[in-house]
Amino acid sequence: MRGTREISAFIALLFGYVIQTSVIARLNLPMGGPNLVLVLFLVWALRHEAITAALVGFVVGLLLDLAPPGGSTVGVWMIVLTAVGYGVGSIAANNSDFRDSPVIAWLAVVAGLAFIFVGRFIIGISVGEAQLNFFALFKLLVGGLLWNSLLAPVALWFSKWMYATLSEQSDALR
Amino acid sequence: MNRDTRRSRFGLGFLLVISLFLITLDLRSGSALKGPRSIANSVITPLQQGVTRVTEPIGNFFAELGSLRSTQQQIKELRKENDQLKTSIINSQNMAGQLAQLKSVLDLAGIGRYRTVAGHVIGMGSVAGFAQTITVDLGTANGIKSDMTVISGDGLVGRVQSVGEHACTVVLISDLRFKVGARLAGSQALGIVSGEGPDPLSLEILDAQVEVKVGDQVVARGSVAGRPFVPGVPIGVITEVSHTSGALTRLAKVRPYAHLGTLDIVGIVVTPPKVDPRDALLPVAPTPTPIPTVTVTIYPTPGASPSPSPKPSN
Repeated sequence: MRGTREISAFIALLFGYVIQTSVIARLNLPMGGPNLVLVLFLVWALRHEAITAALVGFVVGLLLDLAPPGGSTVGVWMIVLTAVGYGVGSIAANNSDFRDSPVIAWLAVVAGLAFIFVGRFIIGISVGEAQLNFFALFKLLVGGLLWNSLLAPVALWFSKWMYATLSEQSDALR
Repeated sequence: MNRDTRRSRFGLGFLLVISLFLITLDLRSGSALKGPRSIANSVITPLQQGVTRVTEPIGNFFAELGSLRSTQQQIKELRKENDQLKTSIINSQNMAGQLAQLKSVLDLAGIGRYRTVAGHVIGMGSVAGFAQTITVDLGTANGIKSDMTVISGDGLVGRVQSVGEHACTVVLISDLRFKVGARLAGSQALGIVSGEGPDPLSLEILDAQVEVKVGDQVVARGSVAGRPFVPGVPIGVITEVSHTSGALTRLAKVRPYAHLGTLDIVGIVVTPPKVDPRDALLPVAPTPTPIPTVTVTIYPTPGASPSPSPKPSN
């Protein structure tokens, strides 16, 4: 039932995207607020192989680039999330602490977010996104890391619960 | 269990190349990815709309919580602005009222050729006793002296009783001690108008033989040198006439023209007119509108038969 986990995770990410753009973005939280999609993606990447995480990063990146309100150059989020997904997946695959220890998992998510923000900034600058500057990056790093580090424990718990439920269901089917 | 194999690295490279290709494609030709964007839009937008519809009230609540401080500040500023606007409206209405009163005072003074100084009523009522007085913000500094006539746009208000440097006290025509020589417009019959407190003024016609009727207008007769009363100032209109046979004088009730309860701007006549304006200042008396009487006469129609009367039943 491996495919079920991937599909469930992707549905959760899609749902997270809709919640992010329809609810969280409308709250006008100070310093941008949390990013549910990125946190869910990183939490999900911790539990999968590198190439699967890269593939999901690719799809989520495509979603972020194409879907409304979007507006960025297609491929920018894809390249960043593919690379970070692969990195997180390969590190987590070699060390089970990233899945078993909540603190290490939480640190991995925060570090992954920092890589995503910096990577997105560099790629954005490279393709000539005029609105990006170092102040925007600083604000994104401080605000984004603060909000998302608060959201990460909830997302980690949700991910653990979802996978446990899916495993129980697959065991029951056998 | 190291799964970071050559195959997965190849897969990663492939995905990155596709991403770079898409970036190049999108940068080179903005319309190339219009189709996929449109598809994503049509898939995601209904979902966003649905979620927004469900969560909007909650979202708005939390959004308000987030901006509570700025909202409070905004409410504070709007309340302040609202108070200022309310005050401005009240001031504007007050000024419009004052302007109308000032205009009517000046109109009356203009017709009577009185030279007046206009002032605000700054106090009403007497400190001691039941005297009916007002305080006006005009005094000796404005050329006001005691026993000068005080008028409003409608007619006689009273006379100046005492004067300070910047304010004076005016006895109103309704005061119980107030008396003014008067004459009836038209018949020129002389009389004396006295204040009766809250009741209408009383008029004592000196000649009992004079024909007096309700609706007759009363004007001030005028004093020597125009003090305390200048001639021709409208006092009021007769509302009731007493018929006492054998009396030497006739009594009548007079409703004053001046609205003593709503005085704001008054004029004090500082120079009387050289010529008595007589009845020129009186308001135009309302002319009665004739009520047409319609008489309908019904003629019997020759061809019409009378309606049968019901037969009595046995």
